Parts: sequence; C-alpha cells; structure tokens
Amino acid sequence: MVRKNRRYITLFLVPTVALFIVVYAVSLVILFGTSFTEWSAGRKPIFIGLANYIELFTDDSNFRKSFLNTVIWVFLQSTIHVAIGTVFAIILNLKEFYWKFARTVYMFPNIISGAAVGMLFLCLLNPDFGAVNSIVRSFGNADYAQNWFMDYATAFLSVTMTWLPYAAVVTILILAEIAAIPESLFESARIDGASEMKINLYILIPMLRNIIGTCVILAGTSMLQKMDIIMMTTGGGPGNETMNLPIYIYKTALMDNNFGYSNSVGVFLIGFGLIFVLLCRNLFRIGSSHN
Amino acid sequence: MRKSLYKTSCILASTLMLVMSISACGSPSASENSGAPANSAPSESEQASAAPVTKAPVKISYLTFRVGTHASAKMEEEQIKQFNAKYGNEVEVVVEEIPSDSAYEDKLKILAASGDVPDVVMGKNGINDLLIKSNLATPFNEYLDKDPEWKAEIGEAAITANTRDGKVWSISDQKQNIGYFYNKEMFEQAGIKPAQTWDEFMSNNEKLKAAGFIPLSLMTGENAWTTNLILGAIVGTNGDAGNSFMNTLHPTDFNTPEMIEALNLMKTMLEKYATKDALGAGYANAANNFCQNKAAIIANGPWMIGDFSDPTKCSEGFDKKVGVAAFPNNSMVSTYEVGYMIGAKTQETRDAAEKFIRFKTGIEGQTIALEYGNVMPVSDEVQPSEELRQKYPLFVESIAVAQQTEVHYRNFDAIVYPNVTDAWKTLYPKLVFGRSAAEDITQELTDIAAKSK
Amino acid sequence: MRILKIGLGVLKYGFVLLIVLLSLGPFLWVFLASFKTNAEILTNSLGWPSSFSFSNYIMAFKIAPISRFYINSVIVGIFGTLLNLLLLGMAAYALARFHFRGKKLLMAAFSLSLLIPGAAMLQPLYLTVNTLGLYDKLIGLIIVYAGFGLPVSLYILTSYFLTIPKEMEESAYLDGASFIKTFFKIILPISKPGFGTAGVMQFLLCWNEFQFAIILTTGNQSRTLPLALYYFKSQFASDYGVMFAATMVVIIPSILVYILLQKQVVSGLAAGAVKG
Repeated sequence: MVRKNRRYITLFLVPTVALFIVVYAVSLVILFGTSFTEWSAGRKPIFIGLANYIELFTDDSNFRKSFLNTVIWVFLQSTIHVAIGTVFAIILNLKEFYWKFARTVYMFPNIISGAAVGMLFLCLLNPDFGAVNSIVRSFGNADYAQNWFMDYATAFLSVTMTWLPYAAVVTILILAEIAAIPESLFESARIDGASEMKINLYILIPMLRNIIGTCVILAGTSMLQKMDIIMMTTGGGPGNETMNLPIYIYKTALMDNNFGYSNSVGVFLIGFGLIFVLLCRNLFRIGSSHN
Repeated sequence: MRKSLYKTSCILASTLMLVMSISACGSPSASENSGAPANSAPSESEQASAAPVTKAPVKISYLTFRVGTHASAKMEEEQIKQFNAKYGNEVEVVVEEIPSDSAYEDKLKILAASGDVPDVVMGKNGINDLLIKSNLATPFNEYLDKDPEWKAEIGEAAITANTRDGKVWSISDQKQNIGYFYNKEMFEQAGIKPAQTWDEFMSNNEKLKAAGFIPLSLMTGENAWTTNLILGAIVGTNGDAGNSFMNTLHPTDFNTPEMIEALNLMKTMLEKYATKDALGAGYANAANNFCQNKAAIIANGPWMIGDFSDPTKCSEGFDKKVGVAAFPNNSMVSTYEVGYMIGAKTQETRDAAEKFIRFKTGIEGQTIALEYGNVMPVSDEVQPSEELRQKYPLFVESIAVAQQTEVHYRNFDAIVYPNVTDAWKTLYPKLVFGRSAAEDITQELTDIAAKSK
Repeated sequence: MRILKIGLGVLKYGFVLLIVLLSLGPFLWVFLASFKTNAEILTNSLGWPSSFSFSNYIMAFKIAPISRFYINSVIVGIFGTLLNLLLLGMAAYALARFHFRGKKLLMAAFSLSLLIPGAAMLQPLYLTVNTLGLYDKLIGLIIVYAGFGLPVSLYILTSYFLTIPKEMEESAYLDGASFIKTFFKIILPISKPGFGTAGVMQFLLCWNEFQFAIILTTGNQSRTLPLALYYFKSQFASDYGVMFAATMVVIIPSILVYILLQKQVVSGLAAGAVKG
C-alpha cells in the first residue's frame, strides 16, 4: 500500500513542512547558531564556543532555580493536571444531569487569554480587596491579609493553582476519544456483570492510552512556554521563587539585552523538552494504534 | 464535515454581526488611528486646489504608548492633531499605537535588533542607549545650531541632560518635578504638616497610623514607581554622596551606605505604614488606595492631578482634599525626560522627523502637553493658562512648591539600566519577608547592573 | 459495599462541585466587577454592584478601537483555524496511517515546534514575516498562528486517527476509492470530534495571542482583540471597572463560540457507525 500511495503521502505532508519552515526554521537556526556567540542587540555576534553553556551550568543560580521550577511544574502538570482532567472526563461520561453544564463551565478559564487570567487572579488574590481574603474575613478573621503572590510561603502554590486545576482541555480531548470507542466493547462486560468502576479501570482507561499520552505531552510541554500568567502575577518573585525558564529567557534577552546567552538557555530548554517528549512517547507507546 | 463547516461559519458570522451591532450602539468613533491618513485626505485635496504643484507629504513612522487609559493619551492626540493641521501637507505622521509601556519597549528592542526602528522614537527606559549603541539614531546638533530659537525653547539644562560626548541624542519633552500628594483631612486629624526631615516624615507616619489611617500608598509591582520615588528621595538627600549617586547615569555599584540606609528605612515603611497590598501592587492599586481615601500619602508627578477631579477614578470632591509637598530636606525629584530621538534613515525623513519633534518639544507642543496632560514644560516661557489655573489650582501650587526646593535628584527609572528597573518587583518582597538584608539587596542590584549589555 | 458506594458518590459530587466553583467563581467575579465603580470594587469586592449600568462598557468601547479589532480577530480566528485544520489534518493522516522512511525524524522536527521558547522567536519571526512581505497584514498573522498551532493540532489529530479502525479505509480502497477521496469522504466525516477539539484549541490560540500580534502589525487595520485589553493597562492607569468591562467584551465571544461549537467537539460518532 505504501509504494502506491507515496505520491499522496508526500502531497499531504509538504504543506505542513512548508508551514513549519516558514514559522520555525529561521528561529531554530538563529537560536542554535547564536547560542555559541556573545550577541546583544546593536552588536555583531562574536563566536565564543561553549562559554555561554559553561557559565550556565557552573555559575548561574537563577538559571538553576528556573530550571528546577520548570521541572516541578512540568511534573505536576503532566501528572496531577492530566489526572484531574481524566477523572472529570470519566465522571462526565456517566452523563448525569449536570454533565453538559459542568463541561461548558469547566472550559471558561481555558478560553480566557493567559494575560487576562493573570489579571483576574491578581485581583482575586489581592491581600486588601481580593475575593479570597474577603471570604476568609467574612468568617470572622477581620484582619486576615495573606499576600498570596508575594509571601514566600504561598507564592509558588498560588501561581501553580492558577493553572493546575484547569484541565478542561484534557477533559474534552478524552471525552472526544471516549465517544469514538464503539459501545459494543463495553456491552459484553456489562452482560458479564462487571461494575462501571471495573469497566472504567480495566477496559476504558487502557483504551485511552494514546490520548492520555498525548495529553501528558501537551500539558507537560505547555509548562515550557508558560510565561504570561507568571509575568502578570509575581514577575518571577519573590526573589526567584516563581521564576521559570521561559521568563528567564525573556529577561536575559529583552532586559539584560544578552541574546546570545538567552539563546543558549533556549537550546537547553529545547533539549530538555525533547527528552521529555521522547520519554512520554515511549512510555505511552504513542503511535501504535489499538488493533 | 462540510455540514459542520457550514454550521461553524454560520455561527462565526452571527457572532460577527452581533459584535458589529454592539459596536454600532457603543460609539461610532472608536478612536481611529489618530495619524494622518484619514484626516489628511480631504485637506490634501484642498491644498492641491490652492497650490497645484505641491510635493506629496513625506511619510514618517512614529510609535506611541500614550494611548487608551494612559495619563498622557489626550495630550498625544492633541499634539498630533495640531501638527497635522499645521504641517499635514508637508509631513504625514503614520502613528502606530502600542498599548502598554512594556509592550512598547519590547517592540522597540525587537525593531532595534533588526535595524528597523521608526523615524521618531521615544527613548525611555534604555531605548536611547540601545539606539545610540546600534548606530540607529541621528544627533540633533546640526538642527539645533540652525535653529537657535528652538534651542532656547528647550533650554540649556534639558539639552545637557540628553547630551553624551557632545552629541545631543534626544530632545526632552518634559520636566519631571516630583514630590508627593497628601490627604489634607487626614493630616489635619493627625495634627501634622508635611515633614522637613526624614525623622519627621517617619514620626508623621506614626501619628497618621495612631489616628487610624494608613500613611503610605506604596507599590512594589511593575516598576515599583511610588515606592522608588521615595527611596530615591531618601538616597538623594543623604549628603553629597547620596545626592551625586542619584544624579549619576547608570550607577554600577549599589553597595553604598546611603542605599543600604534607604532600603532599611523603606523596609520599615512597607512593613508598618503601607497598605496591606503594597507588596506586589501595581500603580493602579496605589493610585486607587490614595484616591479612595485609604492612604494618606502618594508620591507621584503632577500629571496625576487631573485624576483627582475625575469621578470615575477618585471619590467625589477629592481634589479639594489633596495637598502637594516637596520631599524632606527641601528637596524634589527633578529630571528631564529622555524625550524624542530621530531614527529615520534618509535625509528627507530625518528632516521630516525633526520637524515633528520640533513641534512636539517647542513652545506649541509644550503648551499642549501642559494644558492637556498637566505636564511640566521644560521651558519657563510656557505658563499655565488662566483656565488651567482655575481648573487645577493644585497644579499651580505644585509649581510653587517646586520653585522653593533646593536639593534635586533624579529618580531610579531615569538613571538605572532597564534590567535593574525590572528587578525591584522581585527584590522588595525578599527584603520585607526577611530573606535578604539590605546589604544583600544592594549586592544583587550591583550584580544585575553588571549583567546589562 | 454500600458505604463504599455512598462514599464514592460523595467524593464524585464533591469533586464536580469544586471544579464548577473554581471555574465559575473567577468568571462571575469579573462579570460583577465590570459593572462596579472603582470605589465599589475596592470596598465591596464580594457584593453585587449598586446598579447594572453599562457605563464601563461604553467607556471601554470609547477608549480602545475594539470594534475594528473585533472584526480582525474574527477573520484571523476563522481563517487561522481553517488553514491549520486543513494542513494538519492531511499531515496527521499521513503520519498516523503510513510507515515511510524519515517519519520518526519528521515527527521529532514537528515536536520541536512545541518547545521553542516564544521569546527566542520574536525577532527571527519578525525578520521572516517582514522578508515575505507579510508584515502588518492579517494573512501574516493567519499563517503564523496556523504554524503556532501546528504541534497541538498534529498531536490531537494523529491521536484521533489512530483510534479509527483501519478496516474503514481498507474497505473503501477495495471498492476502488482513491486516496484523496478516502480521506475527504471517509476519514474526515468520522473524525469530527478530533477536528472539533483541535479547532477549538486553534481558535482560542488565534483569539488570545498578544505578543506576536503586536510585533507583527503596526496599524489598527490589522490588529486583533487581545491588544485592546492593553489599552487599559497603561503604566499610569487605574480604572478597574473599565478594564474588567473590556475583559468581558473580549471573553464573551469566545465563550459563545465554544458553547456553539462544543456540540461538534464531543458529539462523537453515532453509535454503531464504526465497528471495531
């Protein structure tokens, strides 16, 4: 079949390859090329070999903290976040009375742009007039004024909570996948008297392997791009408590005007991401179909 | 699939219609591109009938962040409008609106890195250094020599402020004289007057607090503006060393006793005398806390005066309650803005850009800025109109206060590298939550400044 | 056993309730705040507004060129989504169904696009778009956004195609249908949920993207809605009410689009249409 269709396969792939080249190729070449140079806006890049990378690994505590935070966030997002979304999808799939409403409402925070979500949480968690502290105060603690985003005790958690529970994308992806599974597969199990719980655990979830793997990759890698909400709420602070690699890249490039160094961090980020993606693809055996 | 596509487009089309109907009953003249194209078309044809052999106007590009809710949006609009009325047949200004100051800076950095800057550039927050370094700017020396009248209108001091190695890289469009505003009612009830020394300033804070008020409207988010004005004032009035520090462009060593002392004092203010949301707050929070009678003092420039009588921003009759004062030790923040630079590449567009900048910074432009934006002019020749005096007596008062001050210094945003400006928001919480002593913060500031390329 | 069942039920409803509250709460808070004055937001942040007047909304439309940006956003949203779905649908089909040399490499290259940090792309992409003559044109944004959505759409669609049993096409081939005909007539119709999901993701990307929209355009005739939000976030601005009104104006259409589209997204296949 392959030989016969080779022409068509090429035809189907070429437009996307072209799109990829237009949007990403120049960036990739510049990114890799200049990561070995000293380069700032207004100057010509000077080749300095591995100097940027050496500095990165030996003498940059902000980078280490950013990387550590990024790893934690990738991990949380690809486990807890995906789990929340999956469980919710399976509950919605019971199609109880609330399911359409809940499905729609859950998507709201994902529909709103990151900057707007950041602005929103900044107001909700404002120590003075924010809704959260107001609620606590209405229960009697009149002087309650937790500074959620700035206090070391809560900053990381507060930022995390702006995205961790909002797994609606995972939910709709999984619901769409469930809808594609033929009902007949469950019927025989039901006839055998298996409980819904067992059916979900032993028949449904294994069938969702591909899509859950995809969700893990998409959710995990989204943390390699996460910037707008953090910028809007903590700016990476207090200190570097909520700094991650994308913010570090942005700051070294546009604030320090150190494009070469920033791009070496970018290359590192891509390397880390690739390892993560390959790991997930193997773990979930993505690409092999069910039958 | 086809059917669903059809449905989808139906839905989208109906959304579009909904939107258009909303906007139709909203406002028909949602601020159009305030640049020339729309306005100049009819006037051009008029010109053409009057003088048949005129050249097509030279197009120049100009990016502005003074749009939307920006305090200077009105003055920008008016300046461009009046420029078009006067020179529209010679120069066509193509205006690009960039909402939000940080987006403006980002875009200009990208454009500068690509060697593609607009013809007229506002050089704020390190953009001027970037353009100079990248050889993308044209100095004004020749233009100023040719036009002594304009040179006089800007004044020696403002020109010197933007001169490097004998070259005038930008023309300042405004002077910043910044002290602080205070709530007269609260001061009265606490039985205090604006402080003459920093000790008195602190004891005032204590008295205000005892009277049941929050003394200071501080913020450490964004660029920590209202907080850093006070911090700069503390440093700037701390002997000759402190004053010269605050008058040095691009300080690289922050490990000075004056900085450490000031940071410790600021820590106390943030801990004891500020609103609960000061750490992490943006300008909007600070301004609202002052305007809604929550805090007694806010440090800010005179452009804020218009807000005091704006009922959507401040409580009714608030402008009557506000007083203006200089900082202790009879001092004030006093800087000239970086202002406008020429980024144009050809002689023709350079001349056109210079014409636009000359208009904006000359007597006419300064007058518009003063009347529409409560902006302090750089020239003494420009005086507030009777109407302005009536409408904003506080503005007149602030001029008087400024004239009596003897010690002057610049503000942090005007002297430090952009990456230092960006760092305050993460450093202040560190200081206040006791993770770092003031000495560690100054060391960090020093390290950050060293990283600026 | 019964206790376990009740316990599970409580857990289930508690979970659903929590999710609904976490999702709806912030949205409602902004909605209410958009009708409040500054003073009300600061003093009475939890309560109802004193009146449901539209003055904040009217101000919002006056301050920013919202209506113009709206039209642009709709155009960019529709065409950015269609372009992305068409190209990626074809590519994902080829990658999901066939084995050929270089497939792994291609997949890895496409995965790269998921990982390139946005800040590192700003300047290169500006150069590319400018060189191609697409600077300050809606078509430039459409192409760039179609590219940004490449990895997500690719993953979603590939994963979906893998679920479809091969027998579907094989019988079509046996009936003598061509490759292209099979794709458009057999595969596309039964992949509606996959395309719906990818489409929603892509539309939201087009609708919400800010950073590149401002770098790649100069005039208001080619700018999109997220930029309007920033007209209310100037450095020396302090009017919360209007800012929230503008936020609502930007959010509501995307919610409407989602509600209308979600039938497509999760409608699934008619039972029995596909036999595994």
